[in-house]
Amino acid sequence: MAKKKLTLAQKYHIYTRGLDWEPTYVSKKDIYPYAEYEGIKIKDWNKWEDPFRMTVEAYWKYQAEKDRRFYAILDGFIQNQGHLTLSDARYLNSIKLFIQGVTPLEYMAHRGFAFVARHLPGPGPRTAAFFQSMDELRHTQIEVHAGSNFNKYYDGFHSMTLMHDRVWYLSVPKSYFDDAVTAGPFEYVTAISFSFEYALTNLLFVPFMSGAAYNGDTPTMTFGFSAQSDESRHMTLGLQVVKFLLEQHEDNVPIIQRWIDKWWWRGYRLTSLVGAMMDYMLPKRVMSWKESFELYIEDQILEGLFRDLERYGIRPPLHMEQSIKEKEFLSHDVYWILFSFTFAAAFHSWIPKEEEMEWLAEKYPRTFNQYYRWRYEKAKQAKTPLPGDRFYYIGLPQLCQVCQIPMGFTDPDDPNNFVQRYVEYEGEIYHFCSDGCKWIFEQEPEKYVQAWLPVHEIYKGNCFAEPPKGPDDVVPQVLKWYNIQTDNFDYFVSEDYKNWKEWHKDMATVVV
Amino acid sequence: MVAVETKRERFVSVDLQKTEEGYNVLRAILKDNPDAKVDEFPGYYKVKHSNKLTIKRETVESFMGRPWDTQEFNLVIISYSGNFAEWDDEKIVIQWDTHM
Repeated sequence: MAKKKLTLAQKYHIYTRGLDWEPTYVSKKDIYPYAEYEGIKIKDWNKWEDPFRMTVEAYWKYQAEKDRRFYAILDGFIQNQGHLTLSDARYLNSIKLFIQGVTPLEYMAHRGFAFVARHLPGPGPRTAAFFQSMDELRHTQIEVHAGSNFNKYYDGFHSMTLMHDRVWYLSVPKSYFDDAVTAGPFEYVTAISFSFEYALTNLLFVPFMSGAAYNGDTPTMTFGFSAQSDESRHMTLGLQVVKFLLEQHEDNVPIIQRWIDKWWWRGYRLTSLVGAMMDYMLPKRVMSWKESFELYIEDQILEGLFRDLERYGIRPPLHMEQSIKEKEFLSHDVYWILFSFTFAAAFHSWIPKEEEMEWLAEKYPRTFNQYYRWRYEKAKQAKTPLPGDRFYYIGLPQLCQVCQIPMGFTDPDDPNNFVQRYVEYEGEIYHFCSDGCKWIFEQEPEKYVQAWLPVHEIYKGNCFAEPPKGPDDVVPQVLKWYNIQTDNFDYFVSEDYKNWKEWHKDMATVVV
Repeated sequence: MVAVETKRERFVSVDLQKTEEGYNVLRAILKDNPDAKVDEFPGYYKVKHSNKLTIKRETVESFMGRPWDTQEFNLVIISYSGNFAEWDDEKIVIQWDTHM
């Protein structure tokens, strides 16, 4: 008689729980040395449920299929000279930000989940973290492969890892993830699996990737959706981890709440870069930051997720109301910062075209024309000695001690002012862009006083390729240390624009 | 001071790739969940339901015209909102307010 096939649940149980064992000659404490110091109490790891029931066998099978599909699309795009059919080369500046800012985080996530997969005492979450660690490595690889094709033709793709460690705006994502990986394993999973994966990555990987599709960038759309399909598993891990911890012991509730409060605001500030990418850098737009925020955060997270968590005694994140208030300001503030300091960035920016300003005014009827349009009108007139017929902010900005974004966030309650907060700690003054970042600092000042702030480091003399020969040589030496070559300044004076025009002069031109 | 406008809606949802397989899964979902609504975006569909979404192997197979393992759902899903309340050989259920 043929053997009966195992069900999904049985298979999962055998391959995961069945491979775990109770140690006899080493204490559990010695095997899992990080399991207790965060104050989390676990009574029974076997109460952990795994809705995806992914086994190693299924994992290889489906991940291999996802990769085959991705590489087929990438090959087709490359063979077809697909980059020439993008909506506009301006579009690629959002992808430069992605490759420089997000891809290195995928790699950090790979490392972070490898740590969690080693150090969580339960076999269920260890297995899920192990898969996620491999997923994140796969994401790094497919993103690098997609970006390497653009690197043949466009600026800004050539030095992502070095730039990630050095360039001022990339310290925003870098410091975010460094903060997470230097926390304990439970805070790390709450930060990344729950706050980031469940709540925030949708904004980057769904509406933004839809925007990539709309602008003709099929490889980016494919790696985005391919990555986000793994992310569905990661979201589940995040949700299960938090619910499990909340159910295990009531003492865990205030700890988890504090982490949710912290990591909501950390992740939200990081995601503000995506707001600028969506509203300003996509020549063809799918939805605005505000619309995405309403759908993916207000509806799905606040109205869905947090109502589900109420019965555990969890309330929405502390500064969520501020995020809602900022939704008509955020993307404009962040793009203006990126625009003002493009002389020191590895992407190009530009003054939005008239029809783009009209779109912004239509999507943001209470803020764009009132508080932002005039800046671009003035920027057209304010000339500087730098390339590009427009304004740059000649100088270095003050950075927020926590999120490291320049302090340029409008106060929604007083829109003609920027928010400025500070704290005095052990005789030094620290500055913050928001109440959220100030609150985070106050919880762990000894951690955030160590922040590597790019502007401070420039002033300390730590960011020069060679010692500057005079005041005019300061920025060039920093750019050299950043490995920024022809990647900066306005789009309309860039090599990208020059090439794009040349390639489209005669569509029969073959570009090799 | 700028007034804040919010419109809130509670739903479960799943975001599916706009591919041949994704379309077949979408059709199966719409057949088994008659109150579900679809929003279309470049590259993806968003299927929403006020309460619960069920994806049944048998229905998906009838649209695919071939055997379909529920774990193949991993190949078409982009994202979701809710909990995976059940995921076995026959069906996948997404809803809020489930207990572990």
